[in-house]
Amino acid sequence: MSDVMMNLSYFGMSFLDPYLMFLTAAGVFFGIYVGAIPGLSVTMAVSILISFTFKWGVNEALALIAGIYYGGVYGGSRSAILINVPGAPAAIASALDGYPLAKMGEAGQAIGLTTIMGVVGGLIGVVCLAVGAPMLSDLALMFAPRDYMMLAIWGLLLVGSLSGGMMAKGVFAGALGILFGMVGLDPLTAEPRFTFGSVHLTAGAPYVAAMIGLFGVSEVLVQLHELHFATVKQNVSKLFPSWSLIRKHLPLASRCSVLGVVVGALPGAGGDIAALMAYDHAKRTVKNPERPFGEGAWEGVVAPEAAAVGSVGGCYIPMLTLGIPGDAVTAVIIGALYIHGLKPGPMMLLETPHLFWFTVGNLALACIWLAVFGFMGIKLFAKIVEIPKSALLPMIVVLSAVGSYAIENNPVHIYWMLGFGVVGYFLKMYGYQVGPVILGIILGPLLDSNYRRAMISVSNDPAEFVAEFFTSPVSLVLLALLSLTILSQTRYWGRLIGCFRRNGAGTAS
Amino acid sequence: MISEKEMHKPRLPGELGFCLALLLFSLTAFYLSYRISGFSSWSSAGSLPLGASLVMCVSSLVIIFRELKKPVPELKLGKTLGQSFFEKVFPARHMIFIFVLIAYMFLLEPLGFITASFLYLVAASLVLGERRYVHMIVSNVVSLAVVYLVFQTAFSVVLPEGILERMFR
Repeated sequence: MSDVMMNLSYFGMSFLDPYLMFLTAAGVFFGIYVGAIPGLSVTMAVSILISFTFKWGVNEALALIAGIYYGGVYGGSRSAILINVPGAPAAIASALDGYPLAKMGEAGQAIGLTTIMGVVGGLIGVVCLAVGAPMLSDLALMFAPRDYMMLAIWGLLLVGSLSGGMMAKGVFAGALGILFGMVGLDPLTAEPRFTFGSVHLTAGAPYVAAMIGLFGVSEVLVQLHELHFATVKQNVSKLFPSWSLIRKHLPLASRCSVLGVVVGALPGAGGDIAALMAYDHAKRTVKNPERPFGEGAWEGVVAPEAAAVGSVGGCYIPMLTLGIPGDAVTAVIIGALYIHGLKPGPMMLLETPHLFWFTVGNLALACIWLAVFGFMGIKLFAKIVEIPKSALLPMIVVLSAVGSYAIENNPVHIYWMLGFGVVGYFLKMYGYQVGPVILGIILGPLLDSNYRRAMISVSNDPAEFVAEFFTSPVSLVLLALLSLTILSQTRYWGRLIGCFRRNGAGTAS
Repeated sequence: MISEKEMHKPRLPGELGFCLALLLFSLTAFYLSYRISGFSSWSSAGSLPLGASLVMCVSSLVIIFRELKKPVPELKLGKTLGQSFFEKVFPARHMIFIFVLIAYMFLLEPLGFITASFLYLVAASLVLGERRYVHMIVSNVVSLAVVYLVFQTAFSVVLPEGILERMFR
């Protein structure tokens, strides 16, 4: 009983401490703009913020980051609706029906509806986190090193494949990240790896500078290609949607939130994929929408928004219980936790339950702030979103440079940032994603230590190493999932699905 | 998986060269990984680096193979591949932008945060085609002031100090 009371008190921490409350609110408020302004992304903001919050306590840093995360995921849909430019990848699906709604003069109601459904999705996500994480954490205690190894590989494959493009490019980017993660002294044997005799590199590649470079500077360089976008004035007078509209779409929103949580909880897959899958789900299940999809269907904005905001809670599940990031943002957050001396993983819930329940409470608080700020400042918003890029992009560079400098008050990190930024720019231009690189940097050391522990435990016998995948039930399930993911990327998958469909149709008729 | 549409899209200028550079990088990485501890044991310090760089080599080969199947880059009349690379992928604006950024990097410590950042913001805005000079200078001063105050108060970040910063203290 006392345990429950203790956890409840940790849960309520950010509700009772005015400073934490303020930080969460500030995070959500700025997050909405970060998410909405095309060219600023949540990953970018969180990467830059990590180095600024070095000197803060963990709780303060987590509160601000949680706020930014929620605000940013939600904010992207606002610009998607208002100006048909998704402010964040998670909002691509919202633009499909959101902008047509705005053209019909219903931008205000569309924003109101997405806010409500986003908050519903967010809260469902938090509940799932509170219930699911302790369960998964218990299960994770049974995981052997080889299981962690497979989870890490699965995460890398998912982020490389689900977000579209060529699978080989995603795999390359992930492996590149792993290689960067290997720089420094080997944690098991203290042998130097890729240090080139430099003392600075023995501590590892400067991954915060790498994150800022890959998500900040390289994005700025990509944006230099299109400096102008047309803006349209929208009617945002009526904000609160009618009660019947809310009630009608609540079931869909709940379904999509759960979908979002599940997708978010998969290692590597985050809000953008959740939103697109939810849109697809809505399209398939809603039989008679008031207006067809793509021409301003309410369902088309409700589904992706609920899923995207819901996925945040989901993304935190593998991050807190397994130490495996749910998406690029949580990969960056894991980097932040490392810096604060914390090691996310199955022991975190046992050793520092206060941190877990604090995070759950904090995320719930962020959802509540989302409901508040979602209905505020939309007129001002339309102006801020139109900041010319010629002013915005240089400012991002200044923040990135100072963020890199602040890591160790050392200009060397700025050089790293620029290096990663330029490399990241060419990677992006030629269709490689930088998300897998960051995931690789975070997952590399995890993969390394777990692979080698698994190998050592079978005394370096590769045959026995392989055999162990088939003898443990947990490993077998993970192996099946991993194989399915790889298989789904090959051309045989389509045929296999076709085969099943035909058989299914045959038995039904 | 690669969509039909993407398959028939022509390569960007320089794409094949970039892939070859990545392959070369992967091969170098493989060699360096081998140098860590050779093939001494399945669980040596170099085992995962070897694995990761091998994956990089194989996937970059796959990518090159796929790229070769795509149509060659579309070139405008009378333009060489190099010219078209600098037009589509790495235009002069990017190069100048990066050059200004490098200058900013080196000036940050000698000049201090405020002076260097102000000069950088002005230069970068000019590169990006901003021509409303008064508006630009005012907005840069205001936003820099806000950033400086937030850094100093909320984040207590130590910024490089110059003449201006010492005046404020």
